[in-house]
Amino acid sequence: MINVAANVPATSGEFAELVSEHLDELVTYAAHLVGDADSAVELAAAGIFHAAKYPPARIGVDGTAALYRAVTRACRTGERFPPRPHGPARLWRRSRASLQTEFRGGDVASRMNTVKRALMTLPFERRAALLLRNLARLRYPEIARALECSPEAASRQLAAARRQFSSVYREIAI
Amino acid sequence: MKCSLLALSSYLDDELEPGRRAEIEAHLVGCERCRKGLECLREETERFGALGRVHVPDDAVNGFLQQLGLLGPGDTLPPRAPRPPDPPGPELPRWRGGGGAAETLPWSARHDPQPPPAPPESDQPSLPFVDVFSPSGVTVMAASSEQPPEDYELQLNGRSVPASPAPQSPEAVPGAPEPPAPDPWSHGSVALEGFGAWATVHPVRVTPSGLEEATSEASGIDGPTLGAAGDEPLAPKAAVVEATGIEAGAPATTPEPVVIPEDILPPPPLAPAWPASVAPPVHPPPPPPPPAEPLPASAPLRPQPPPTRLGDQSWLDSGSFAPRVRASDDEGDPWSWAPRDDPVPPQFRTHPAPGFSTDPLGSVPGGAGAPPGRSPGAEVASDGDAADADATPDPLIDPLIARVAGPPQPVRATLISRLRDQVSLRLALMRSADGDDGRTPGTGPGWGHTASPPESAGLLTAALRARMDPPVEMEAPAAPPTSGGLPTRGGHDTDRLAASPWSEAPLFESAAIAEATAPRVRDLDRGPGKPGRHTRQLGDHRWIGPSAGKLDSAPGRFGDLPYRLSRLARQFRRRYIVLAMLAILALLVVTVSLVVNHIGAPTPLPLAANTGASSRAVPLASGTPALQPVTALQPSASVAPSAAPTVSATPVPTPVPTPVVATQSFGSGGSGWTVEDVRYGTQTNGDLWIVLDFSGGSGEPRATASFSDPTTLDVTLTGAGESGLSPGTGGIVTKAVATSSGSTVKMVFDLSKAVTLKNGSYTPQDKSNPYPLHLILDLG
Repeated sequence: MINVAANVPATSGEFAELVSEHLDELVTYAAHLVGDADSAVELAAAGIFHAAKYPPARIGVDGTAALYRAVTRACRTGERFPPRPHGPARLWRRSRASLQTEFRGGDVASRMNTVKRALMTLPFERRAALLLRNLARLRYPEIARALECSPEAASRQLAAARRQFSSVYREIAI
Repeated sequence: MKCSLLALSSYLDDELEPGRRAEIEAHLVGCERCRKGLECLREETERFGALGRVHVPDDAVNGFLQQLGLLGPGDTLPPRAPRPPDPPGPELPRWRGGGGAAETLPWSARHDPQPPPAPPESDQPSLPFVDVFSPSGVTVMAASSEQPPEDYELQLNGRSVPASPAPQSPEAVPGAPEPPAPDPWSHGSVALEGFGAWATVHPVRVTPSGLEEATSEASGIDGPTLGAAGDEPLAPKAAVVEATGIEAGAPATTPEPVVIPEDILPPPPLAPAWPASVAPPVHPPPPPPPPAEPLPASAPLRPQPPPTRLGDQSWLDSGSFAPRVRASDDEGDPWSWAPRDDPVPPQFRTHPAPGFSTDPLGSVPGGAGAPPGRSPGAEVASDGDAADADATPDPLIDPLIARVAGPPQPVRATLISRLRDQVSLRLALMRSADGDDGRTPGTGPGWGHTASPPESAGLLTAALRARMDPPVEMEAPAAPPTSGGLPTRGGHDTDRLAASPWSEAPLFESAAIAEATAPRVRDLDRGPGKPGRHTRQLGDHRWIGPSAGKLDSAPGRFGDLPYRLSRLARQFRRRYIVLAMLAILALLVVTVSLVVNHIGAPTPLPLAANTGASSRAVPLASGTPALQPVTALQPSASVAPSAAPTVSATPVPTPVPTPVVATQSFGSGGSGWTVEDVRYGTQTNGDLWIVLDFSGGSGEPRATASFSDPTTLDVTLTGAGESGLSPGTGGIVTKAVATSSGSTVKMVFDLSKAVTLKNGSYTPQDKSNPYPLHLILDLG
């Protein structure tokens, strides 16, 4: 039986509410994933922009994972919104104004504490898996969608990330 | 069932099927290793609570979504749900202040169900600091302008300190009996001299990790942030503001200082004066303390060591504090049985610290989750016997404190002493690493080493490593110190250390130790100029954020030049400098290219005025009978390669340059024509057309055009005659002469300038002219 409701595209208002609900977590996730709170808003905005362009059919079910997947992609590729110029134009200031968004706590996300230092030594995918589980509290299927892999691979990534994080943290922490 | 990290991880996340879950639970009953591993995983999960959270204000969310196009200009979203609170205390391990895995430690924070009171000002950026340590972190808030609240208190391990008048200074009354040793925690409010003048210790909760992180954040600290009464004036305001991220308001009134009783104070600093390199205190020094009174005999809590600082290392030889070394790095590693697909990079491998273990599981008898260095058995039971319990040496903590802070003594687990020791350690390490304390390069122990400090390891870790490694040297202490009381270790230049202004008056012994040994640690961790892979990543990352460039220059191929360039370009006001530099560079390149072209260009050839219409016309010597039959109106291109040999019968040894003359022929060879008129017309492109009008013939008379000199055009018409033709002048033609002989007409045109014959063609009659044939010669 065809699920007709699944093919109904989500409204922008519905998606905006979802984004508004998870915006703090998305920006925090991006900040810790790339280790740069200054770029977190731009990266998260790029992901949200992409996710809004191609919204999931079941926004109530897949919306969160789609958002995190888009933000993870943006962090992986360095895509920003508004896009930054390429070439020598990067040497001077961006012509387009950046997002006029103020956020608090960015300095905290930028600071280097022990957990963050240990986290930054992990590979990108493992770091993302750890953050998606421990920071965003996603379930394994959602982590798999965010990382664009199978749930088994996500669980393996997470276990390996924990293993590596434990080793590094044990070495650098007192 | 086999032990599996993957299964434990999934079990921890509650992602297993019920059958598999029960299987693992049954396995955990009998497998000690997996139990420890599970606890370790739980701890790691809880550690992520220390990561900062970003909060986008509600009013900024709408604008954000509007910029993304998700909301229209007039659309507004319903208010968001209130921000969920930070993880509650019980989710945290007990050593972080929660009720989690480990037992409550005597000096750990007590979970307070009451949330910390709001900061006095709503716009106080208290979020960063609270985020790091909440809900059981240190919250240092700025003192408001009004009188400080009466109920501020210092909570430490469940010792709730109610508001009460400050204990009086132990004024000695002659003849009066010795008062009993007061229990400081049961009495009340604690304020710190010099500290309370600008900040108020609002409910203070101290956790070991929180303390470590708090001090690790303060990368720009110029002095210790905390101190005790009787010390020199404490940290500059900016240092604590940077450490806490809280801007302390200027106090209008100074809280009444309350003196901490003597018996809980940390030992007086052996070098009471701050080094000259430390920034001067902001506040005036406190009034001189009352005359010291000898401690009552009933409370011999702190036997003062002889003032030898670190000169006497005999305490190191005592059995309980003798360094011991773990058998291997994997000892105590709960994952030692698991395959190490990602071995720890060498720069992260630490030598085990004797006396305690950094492993949170293995060597702590308190069990899983216990912090390194404290067993639950040493926990202080209640408020009443706090003093006695603090005086009791703890087998795990006190060696650590003693190794960091000084000779073995029953160090009281006070907030001040721990804070002071850690801050001084970090301060010393940062100074030795940065070298920005005003020392002359080459005089301090931090100079002369090109390697960067081990940013991969915590500074305190580095200090402990420096203190305790290598064990061989520790077991065989060198000769007694000769100068400055600094420890003499093998290979260290004590004179050099003594020459350092920092080492002359170290804050604490631990600082001196750390400073003296920090370069050695750096050399051990990684060789100079050889940052590891992860270290490079950390180093690169350090360039972002407020801590950028705080330690030293990042290793890179070009040093810090790329960073400085990008930073320069990012700054709004200075982008014009970059533009100006680029413009100057471009101008320079253009100038150089022009100069080079001017110098290297060949001398311009003389004007090839008569070289024909195009490059296909090859110059011929004058008089060369090279007329070719031309069927088209286009100039002839088939010419002899060289005219000189054919003209002269005898070879000319040195060819004389002949004038460059071209000969072009037009017409197929008609007859019976008469030249009726010669007209001139200047075209829009500047060319001059010479038009010869013919009448009464057939075919096209053959016309040959050549230049006898650059300004003289000769036109010979074969098959045509003329009857009293007198051509006029026009354009650049200054003179025209026509002569005829039989069926040949020769016309000579004198030109005012050298031109070339671009084209020549016959055209039939047009409507504006009665003659049936025209020859047009295009000169330009």
